[in-house]
Amino acid sequence: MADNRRRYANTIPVVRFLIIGMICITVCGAGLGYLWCLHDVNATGEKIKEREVDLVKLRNRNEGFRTSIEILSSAAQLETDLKKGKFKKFNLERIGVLDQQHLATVVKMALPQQPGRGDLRTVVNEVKRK
Amino acid sequence: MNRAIRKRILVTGITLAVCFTGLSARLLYVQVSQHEHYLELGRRKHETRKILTSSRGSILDSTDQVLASNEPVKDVIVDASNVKEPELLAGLLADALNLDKAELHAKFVKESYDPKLKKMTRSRYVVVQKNVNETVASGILAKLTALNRDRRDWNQIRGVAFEQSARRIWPNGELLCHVLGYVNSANFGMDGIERSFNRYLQGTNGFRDIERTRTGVEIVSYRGEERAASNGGNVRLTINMRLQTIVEEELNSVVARYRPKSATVIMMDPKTGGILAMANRPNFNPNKQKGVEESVRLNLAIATQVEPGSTFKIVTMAAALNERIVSLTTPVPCENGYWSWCKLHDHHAYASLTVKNVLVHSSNIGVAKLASKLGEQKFSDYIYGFGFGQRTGVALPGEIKGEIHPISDWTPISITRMPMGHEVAATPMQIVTAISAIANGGKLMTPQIVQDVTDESGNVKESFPPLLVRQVVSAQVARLVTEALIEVTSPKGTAKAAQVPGFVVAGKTGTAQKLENGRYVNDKSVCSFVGFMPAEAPAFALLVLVDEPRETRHKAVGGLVAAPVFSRISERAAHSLGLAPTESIKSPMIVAKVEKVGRDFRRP
Repeated sequence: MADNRRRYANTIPVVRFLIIGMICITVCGAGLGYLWCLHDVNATGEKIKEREVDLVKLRNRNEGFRTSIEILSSAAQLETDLKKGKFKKFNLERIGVLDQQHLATVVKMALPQQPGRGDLRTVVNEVKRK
Repeated sequence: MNRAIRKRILVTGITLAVCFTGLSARLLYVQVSQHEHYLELGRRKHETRKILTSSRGSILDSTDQVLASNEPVKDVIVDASNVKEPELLAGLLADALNLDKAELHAKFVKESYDPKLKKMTRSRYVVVQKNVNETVASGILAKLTALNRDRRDWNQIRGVAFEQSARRIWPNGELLCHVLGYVNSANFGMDGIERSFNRYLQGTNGFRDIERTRTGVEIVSYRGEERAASNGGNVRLTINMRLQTIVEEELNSVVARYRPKSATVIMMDPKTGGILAMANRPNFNPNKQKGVEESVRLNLAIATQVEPGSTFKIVTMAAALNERIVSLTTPVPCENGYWSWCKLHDHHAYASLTVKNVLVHSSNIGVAKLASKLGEQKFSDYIYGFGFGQRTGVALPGEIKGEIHPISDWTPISITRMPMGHEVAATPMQIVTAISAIANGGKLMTPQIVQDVTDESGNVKESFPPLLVRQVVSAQVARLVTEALIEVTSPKGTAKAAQVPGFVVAGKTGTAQKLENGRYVNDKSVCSFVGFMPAEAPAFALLVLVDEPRETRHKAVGGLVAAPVFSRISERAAHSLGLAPTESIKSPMIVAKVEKVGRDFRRP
């Protein structure tokens, strides 16, 4: 009787629905997660590509600047620039001393000690005195 | 059911069954049997192997100054099949790149038969210009972007691509051109260090397996196997650029003064054999090598041979002293200036000279007598011992051996001609290597041009330590020869002009008349001076060789043409190397003729 009542009872199988629901959610979640991951992987890949392109550009610019420095600092270029008068030639024998380069050492003269002036005292060999 | 209908159904069923069986069979064939083939076709369409190009290493001098490097450039490429307005694009590119517009337009519209598409098509890869500067390329791109800004998507100018590339540059231009060499359009070394060290400089290309979408965009997440490119190593030379500049400047003044056929200067560290400077004239600019003749590209220091003349007397004297058949003070009869047996002349008549004075006065008869005492076999052994008649082994391509005849080919008077540098042919490199052996206590070293090869981080991949070939003469004999060579540059010797104020110089002049059609001609000579400084502790050995200077016969001699150049280079080199003078400068030396003394006060 009790079995029949339970078998033919007009109740909603909540637990079963819950289980099915959970399975559906898990499957859908996993699928969506997979898609999200896939999208993320692709988006990251695109970002990597962008960064790689930027890196190549920067590397080329760097290389270009390096080449320019090498050309400008080469012996041949420096010689050409010197001939064009871009640098001033040093004449080591004729460099005059400028006013700013004069050094003055100020020596303070020791004043004669005046007896009885505040904290000043005559220095004597105190050990010998004892 | 009607029989006819049943029959139709059966036929249709069988037909469908046959069709589906056929399709299934085909599917099986494609999917199973031909799986690999179609997989490969698919791969070919979407997967490619991208080559990651390695960059060529730099060449540096001993102070890490860059002598050869790479400049990033772009190749301008056009896919003509994608160009809708060829005239407009041709005009734009022609203006930016200074090209002929009509010629460019013709390239864009030229059609050829495509066997794949089975029709006439425009080229998909037109190289407009290679090695375009980055700034120019950016300018073109900006112009294209500006033009496309006002156009609809379907009407945009497309088909222009910029391929990243690198161009080899030599920042110093002509300086050291024969040593550095040059590369071809594929960046492969063709001469000089660029060629001999190509395998170190070139590096190894890498690769990356990538997949592309239908539109050709790379799918980064589907990247396959990858091997990074390994860039070429940096080659550090033994050359010192400051010394090289001095040598080049002085060589320029020689060319301006004497307008010779050619000239060569080599400076070497006698202790290590390291070449400190090397220059030839004529020279060329490796950055602009189009139309440069082959003869100008030749490194005369190693690829040409000359009769060394009197500089070869050093070999004869060293051999005679080493064999102990004479000492420096042994008298040598000099036949009063003419040895009739072999028809040999001296510039000045001497009855007798000591061995030392034979070298000081550069007596042809004196050295001929010394070689005769030595004998053919021993003399020949010493010639080879000093490195003549064989390649020195310097790491530069195109070195020749020079010419030393085997004893069997000698004439009866060869033993009197060879001691004074006739009937022998040597490269300038062999001459300077031989004198370096005297400066180095009799030890012959292999000339070295490369110190080491380093990777990008500066770690040494391979180093090239000094190489001793052999001890040619004893250290004591080397000292005795040096003593005589010092006298050569003294006021009583033949090379007074080689003196350097404050330093003791040892060296020997050489003047060799040139052979033309088997006869020596009087008006063409090779003037040379080879020596080392300071004589007591040599910092460098130096050879100055001037071929056919435009000077009168009596002035076209080593002592007047090459010795002053040696003096000027040595003086400046001593200053550059920070050598401390060992001698007091007793009297002022005439270094230049002053045209006008004092100032003209009449002028405002």
